[in-house]
Amino acid sequence: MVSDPRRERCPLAGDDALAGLDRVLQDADAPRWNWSLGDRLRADDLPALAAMREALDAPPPSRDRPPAALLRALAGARSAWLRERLAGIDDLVAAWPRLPCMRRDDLVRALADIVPDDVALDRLIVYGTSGSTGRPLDLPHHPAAVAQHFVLLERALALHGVRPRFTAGEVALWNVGAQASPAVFATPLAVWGGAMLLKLSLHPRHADRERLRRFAARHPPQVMTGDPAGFAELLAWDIDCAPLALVSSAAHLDAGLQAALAARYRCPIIDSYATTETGPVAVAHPDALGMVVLPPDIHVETVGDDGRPTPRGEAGEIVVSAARNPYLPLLRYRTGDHGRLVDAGDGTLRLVDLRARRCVVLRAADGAAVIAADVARIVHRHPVASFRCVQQVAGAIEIALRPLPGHTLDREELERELSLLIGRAAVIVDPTLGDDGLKVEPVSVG
Amino acid sequence: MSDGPRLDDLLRHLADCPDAFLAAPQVPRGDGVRVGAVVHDLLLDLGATAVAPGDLRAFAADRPVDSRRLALVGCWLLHAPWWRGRVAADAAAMWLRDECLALAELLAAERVIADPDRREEFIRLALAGLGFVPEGETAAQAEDRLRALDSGERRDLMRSMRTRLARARELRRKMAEDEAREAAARAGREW
Repeated sequence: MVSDPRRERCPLAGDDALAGLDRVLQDADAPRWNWSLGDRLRADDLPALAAMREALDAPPPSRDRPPAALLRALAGARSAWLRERLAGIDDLVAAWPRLPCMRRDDLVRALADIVPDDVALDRLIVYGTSGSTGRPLDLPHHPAAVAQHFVLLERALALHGVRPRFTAGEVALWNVGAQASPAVFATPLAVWGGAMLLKLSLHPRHADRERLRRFAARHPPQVMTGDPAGFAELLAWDIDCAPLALVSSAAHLDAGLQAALAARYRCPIIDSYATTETGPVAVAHPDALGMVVLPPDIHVETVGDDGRPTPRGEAGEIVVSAARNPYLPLLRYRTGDHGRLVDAGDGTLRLVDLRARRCVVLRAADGAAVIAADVARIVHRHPVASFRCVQQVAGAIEIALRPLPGHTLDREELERELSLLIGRAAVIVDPTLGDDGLKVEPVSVG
Repeated sequence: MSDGPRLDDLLRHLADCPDAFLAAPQVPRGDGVRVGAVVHDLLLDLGATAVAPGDLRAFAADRPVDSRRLALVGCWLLHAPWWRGRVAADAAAMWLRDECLALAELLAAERVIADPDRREEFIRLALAGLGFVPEGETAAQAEDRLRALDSGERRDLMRSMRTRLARARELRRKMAEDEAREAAARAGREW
């Protein structure tokens, strides 16, 4: 008997879910699917999802100290990196503010030491990060941990009174971006009873505007998630549908874009804060007092340059500790983003004045969107330490690059590769880029 | 494990390590050998068409000197003619970055050159890390010989390091598998 690869990718998908998947994949106006992916969720993962729902139903946990289960998980993890830093500590709560912070560089350099020794690797999946704000990085993840993100999304929606009803084989969620080199796929999600997730890119290489408009009429999303670049293109392409809510993540959502989306789609436009390393962290509260820290199983702090916590209400770098992903326990992980944490008075902790990554959309010569991740993917094939890409008001795109010490850049080749993405680009080699001490913003408009 | 080179050839090659590969690595705002550049040249010699920046950052001037000193010796070892066409540049980069740098906890670069036992130990660790056994040996014989070279007080440390290195290799292999990459329902990475 030949096994059905769809059932390997989606072990819990029933016939209804797979029939719906076929309808979407084979639609005459479908986007250009380029990946076959699944949620890989198994029956023995379901208790973790139930536990997350239960924890979200309980009163909000104290955010003054790490949850006891998190402390136990970090202290008990057979991770060489954690053991080294937690050795000899009897009272983890008391020692917590002085514990060293984990950085993105640790994930690059010491990932094998961070991944616990005793966790079987057979469920491991990989998320690549583009390196648009740093170096590219592959991170190990676990299907059961990823599925809990969707449980958290349910709760984020419920905060705003949005309660979608999911049906096997019907579209639940569109995730929209505008990348030139994304994964474009559809999959049923067992966490939502076989309702489908569609990952789309509103980029001319991956979809045609008129066809996507017709596709949307037949397979409309109940909810959309995406980054601001994807949502901006959604408006530009004038995709007609009636989602119950739009949830933005991955970068700062501009107030103007938020208002334009609300006017067009007449539904809650919900900003959120999430990173690939940590998953969802906080979601905008309807009372407009910042974003509420949502997952009950993480600990969020803000810290100063020295890694010591800043008092409530004072600005600092956002630091997250988590153990939901069994392959990647995070001990005081510095996200690189900044904000303030305040007690809202209703038992919740809010993130305000978030200064996360900006999402600036440049325009290629043919009008297609260009975002930092696309530029980074090309730039990082070359020995480049950092780069800054600026589109002048007149439209010209200029890319300044700082080569790695001791390396010579093939400027012509780089210009050629970039020109395939953005039409025409001027590459400037600047060995002093970033020496002014300012953070190098990868993409901006001059 | 694949059949490897004659051990004697590599022992001789390492004993002839030029002074340039034993010179002090560069430190921040100071002079010295730019180890990243040496690694870069080696990888091009082994057939790389481009070297990812991430493969070189571990050798930057702000990284531990002793580790980078051993990496220079590792580069010289991999410059031996036998490796050409037998070891892929990305495998060499991975070994230098993930294993050779860590081996400095156990092996000082100078002793690897001057002490015949440490020299053989370093070569055997490199061969094992890159998936080879010396010519004429079985995998079990190669493992026995490597164990015999462990000095008593370092044995536990070596065992623990080898376990870590084996785990790191398994993790790398798993993360490189198409299945792991294809399985990632990427929209769920954040929400």
